[in-house]
Amino acid sequence: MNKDEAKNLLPWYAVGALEDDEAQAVEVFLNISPELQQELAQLRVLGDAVAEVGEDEPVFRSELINDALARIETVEQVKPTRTPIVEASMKAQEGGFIAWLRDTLVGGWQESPGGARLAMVVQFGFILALGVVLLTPTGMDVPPGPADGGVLVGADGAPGQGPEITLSFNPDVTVGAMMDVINDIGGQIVAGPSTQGIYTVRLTDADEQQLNEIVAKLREDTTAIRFVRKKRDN
Amino acid sequence: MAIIAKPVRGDPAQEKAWLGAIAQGDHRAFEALYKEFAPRVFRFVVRMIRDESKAEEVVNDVMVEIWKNAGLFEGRSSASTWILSIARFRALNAVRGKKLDTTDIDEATNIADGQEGLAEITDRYAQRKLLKTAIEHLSQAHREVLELTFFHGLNCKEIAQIVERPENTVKTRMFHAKKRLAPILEGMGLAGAA
Repeated sequence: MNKDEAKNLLPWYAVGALEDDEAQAVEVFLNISPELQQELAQLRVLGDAVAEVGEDEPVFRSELINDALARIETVEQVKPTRTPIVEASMKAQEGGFIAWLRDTLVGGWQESPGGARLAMVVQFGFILALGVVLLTPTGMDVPPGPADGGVLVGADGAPGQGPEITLSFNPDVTVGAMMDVINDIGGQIVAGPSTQGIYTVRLTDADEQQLNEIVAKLREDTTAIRFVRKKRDN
Repeated sequence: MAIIAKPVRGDPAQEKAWLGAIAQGDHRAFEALYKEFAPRVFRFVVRMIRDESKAEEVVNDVMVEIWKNAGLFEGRSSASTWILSIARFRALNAVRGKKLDTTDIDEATNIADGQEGLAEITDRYAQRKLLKTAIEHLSQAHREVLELTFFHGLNCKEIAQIVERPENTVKTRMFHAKKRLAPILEGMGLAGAA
């Protein structure tokens, strides 16, 4: 590298974007050249000014994430091609679980004294036997009905026809309040909640005008509704 | 030598990990990546197309495209490069047929030259304001290189990939941008050889 090349790379040296070897080469010239030192001082001011230029501009509205989250629910992902990134991600997940299992079972086992190991074997056998007893059918079926554990669950593929909306509720809304909202609009949950808490609700026999009125009404109810929108394929 | 400026660049390994997880349908990774990148993409796009509401649309289009195509990201470039490349392509498509804000680069110089007694502007705030105005009046191509370097913290090779030009073109654009701004920087007492 010569001095001119070092000078050309100085903006990227200034922001720490050079590889280590390039940065070291630039520093060799920087240490002996007042001209490059002066240039670096200019770049310091220029860099700050560039960062400040956008301060008077509009700020991104963070609530737009809700729209993106709703949209990805309807988008089919391209299947991963086992790229290095995907491989690494999968290994990280698998590795994390296996490491935890190994540390928990093998590590703990080896560090335990003989008496404790015996106790653990007895406990494991007891838990296994208990599991067998509890899981054996006794002829009593749990009656079907609405979930009552604080989670509102939709019945996929519910019958009927009509336009559909997607909506999610604010975190502090109770199951009862959710049901009230859905009943008020004559809706029926046909899917959800997704991992993001988004429900798909069918408005049986509603026409376009009714659909618009319902969506507008729900949007006004900001205490219960986090977001609502018409499904694209209506 | 201390590293200067304060680019917003995040943790490249974390960003790649998010993309890997998104490829497998991980919503939480998508949210994390969105929070990290959407404001950056918005700034990049709004400065290109000068239309706030269209820029917002482009941002979400970009993020949905990332969700859809994360499985195709091979990690040969940084996540920032990949995402900003998509954003640039989308932004250009959004204003297809409409002239971008490509003020002639000479205007930046005119702003500097037009200030009578530039050297006498001793007020630090006024000098700073003048410099920012001059940056805004650079051509889109030159401003873009400054922005990707000093705000996004990308290196020359990454910028070349995003703007789809050779690295030497990026260096040349940087050189000319600095040259146009040199009179103002010198007026700030920063004599240099840009």
